[in-house]
Amino acid sequence: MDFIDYYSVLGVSKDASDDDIKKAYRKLARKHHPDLNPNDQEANKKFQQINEANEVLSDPEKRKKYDQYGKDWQHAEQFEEARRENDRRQQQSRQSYSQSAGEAGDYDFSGGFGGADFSDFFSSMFGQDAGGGRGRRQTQFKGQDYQAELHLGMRDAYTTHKQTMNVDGKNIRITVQAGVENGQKIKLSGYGAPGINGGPNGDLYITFVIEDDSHFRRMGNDLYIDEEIDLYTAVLGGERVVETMDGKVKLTVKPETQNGTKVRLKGKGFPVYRQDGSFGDLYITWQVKLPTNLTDQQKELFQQLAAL
Amino acid sequence: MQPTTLISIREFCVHHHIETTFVDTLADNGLIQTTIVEKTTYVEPTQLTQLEKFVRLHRDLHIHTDDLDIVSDLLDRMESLQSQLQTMQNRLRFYER
Repeated sequence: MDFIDYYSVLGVSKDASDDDIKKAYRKLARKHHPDLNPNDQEANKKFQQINEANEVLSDPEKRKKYDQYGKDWQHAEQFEEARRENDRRQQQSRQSYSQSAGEAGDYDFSGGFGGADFSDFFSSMFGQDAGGGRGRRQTQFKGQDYQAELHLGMRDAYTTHKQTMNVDGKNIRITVQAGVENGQKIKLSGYGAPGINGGPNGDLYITFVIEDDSHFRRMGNDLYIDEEIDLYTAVLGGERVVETMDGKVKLTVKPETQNGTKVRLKGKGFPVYRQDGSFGDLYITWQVKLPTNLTDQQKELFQQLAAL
Repeated sequence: MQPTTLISIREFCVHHHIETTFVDTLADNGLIQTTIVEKTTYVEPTQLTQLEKFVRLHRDLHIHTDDLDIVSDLLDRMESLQSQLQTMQNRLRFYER
């Protein structure tokens, strides 16, 4: 649990007025508000820090305590405990004389925001239930949305399959649909953080990260590969066995095939997301490989060809 | 008879401590769609996420109700641009290999 300098979080000096704090908070909140920065975990985290700093510095009582114990906040709890103990003694003493109850000055920052959104540092200084105020008491809030990444190989993304993910200590089994794209997001409603004050759970957003494949390149639902053929096959024609995602196919290479010629294998590409039985195409680019280390006889034959 | 699939605006506003005029303005600006059944205004559950987002923007950032229209439009554009950027990055990755 580290000390948090709330003044530097808001970018204000220690003698900043309430108005300065309010202005600084608004400026930063506008920049980092989660609704203005969807899917940005850093902004989300930053907003929580700003919120927490504002929660303390905009409340005169909390600010006083923070200013008083800030860097030595570890001792604040001991001090408060001692103070509470003293209060209890005084209360007992008063009760024994007057029988009146409820006079004890409970140190209570009650609020509905819950401690969940605040740092350990904040909870340690102001208690778990210290957040809130400003009319938000007991208001139900949807829990925080979680963001997660799921890394898949291209061949994994080719077929519909189940994956188990561990999110916040819970195992979640999801079905990954064939054809999912790199950067694509799905939402699992209710799998985010628990709601506050009985509010609904947040959602879980999963972003798929599809790794490159050593053989295939993908663009949308189409796949691309380069295949080498030797000069003689390119000139005279022949056959070539090519690997596709679902097995090998034998292709005919036409005579006089030029280097860089593309052939299309319809329906041999990537599956179309959520369209069973629908596939993109596979494009094969013939790369003609010229012979090297020619023998004298080969050179002579090439010279004869050139002279024709 | 209150349709069970709809959420009463009055209940929503009480729950979130906001004035019903706030929701009325959003509806007037076409940001959400409301349904009136027997003189009571309701909102579809599918609109709830969007509506709560407007409440947060209004309350947390003090964005004026009328300005939420602009903010919403800019957020939609940003989302669209992010989607285009992702598509472009995927294409670039294809050519960079």
